[in-house]
Amino acid sequence: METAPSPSLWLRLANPAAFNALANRLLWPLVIATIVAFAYGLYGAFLTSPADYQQGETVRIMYIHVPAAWLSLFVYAGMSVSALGTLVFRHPMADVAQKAAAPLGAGFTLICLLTGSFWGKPMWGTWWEWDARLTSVLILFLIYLGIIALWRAIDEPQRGARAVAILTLVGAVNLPIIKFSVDWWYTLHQPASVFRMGGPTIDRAMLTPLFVMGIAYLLLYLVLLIIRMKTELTLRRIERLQIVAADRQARTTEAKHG
Amino acid sequence: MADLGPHAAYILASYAVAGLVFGWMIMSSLLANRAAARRLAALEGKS
Repeated sequence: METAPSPSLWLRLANPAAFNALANRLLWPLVIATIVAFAYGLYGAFLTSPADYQQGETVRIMYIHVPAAWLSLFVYAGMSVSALGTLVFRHPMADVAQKAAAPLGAGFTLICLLTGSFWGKPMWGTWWEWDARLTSVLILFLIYLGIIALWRAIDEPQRGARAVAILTLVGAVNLPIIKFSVDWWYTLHQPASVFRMGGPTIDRAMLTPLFVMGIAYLLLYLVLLIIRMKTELTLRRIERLQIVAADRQARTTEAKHG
Repeated sequence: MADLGPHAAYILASYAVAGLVFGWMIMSSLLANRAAARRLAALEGKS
């Protein structure tokens, strides 16, 4: 007797109930891992990391600024993959993930801009400079806001998902501009010092807490993404129930009068 | 804790604003989830 092949994880996650079951199993371990990673990362940032020979103690801003920059790009790259999932593969969870991720991406980008400003004032002598790196990150923040606004402007989820997916893919052109802006143009912002050909230029004593903070940010993102995706699925279920209730009421009224 | 030197105010302010934005991200996610769960429970209770 032949048995039907079990569906792939990709297909199983198309079912909201299967997604919720997996999310519920993952959520608490991720919450605990996030707390541990932040505690260890902040311990390293304030207690074990030495002061930089040029920046002095101001280097401690790096531990919250650089991971925020990484996540602002990572979240947008993930949203671009989701946009392809919506437009090409029509995966039902792709637009749910994208809608849930956008405010989080905006949050990480805002942290990146604000903490960069607090670093820039004592180090560069200015809160802001219209150079290529800073301006392209500001544009990324505005794209995130545009995506959130577009989701809110279109009531019908499927139409909204397609429009947002197209906007997201158009905005993805900004990612390589952000990454390579420090190489392509003369900027006040320093060039890459962690992910670069030839390896990091940062000392191990600073690199370890930086990576731990990066992991903490990533874990927090995953926790919040799961919560927001579960919320979005609940809202869609509410909408379906309301449509069914309205339809039932219309039929009852029609039967009474007809 | 390390002595944060002459730029301590900038360092502490940057951690404070990051904490505020994280707080907003966490609270908005949790409150929206709770509100949606309550709405669903109310709707399912009616039907």
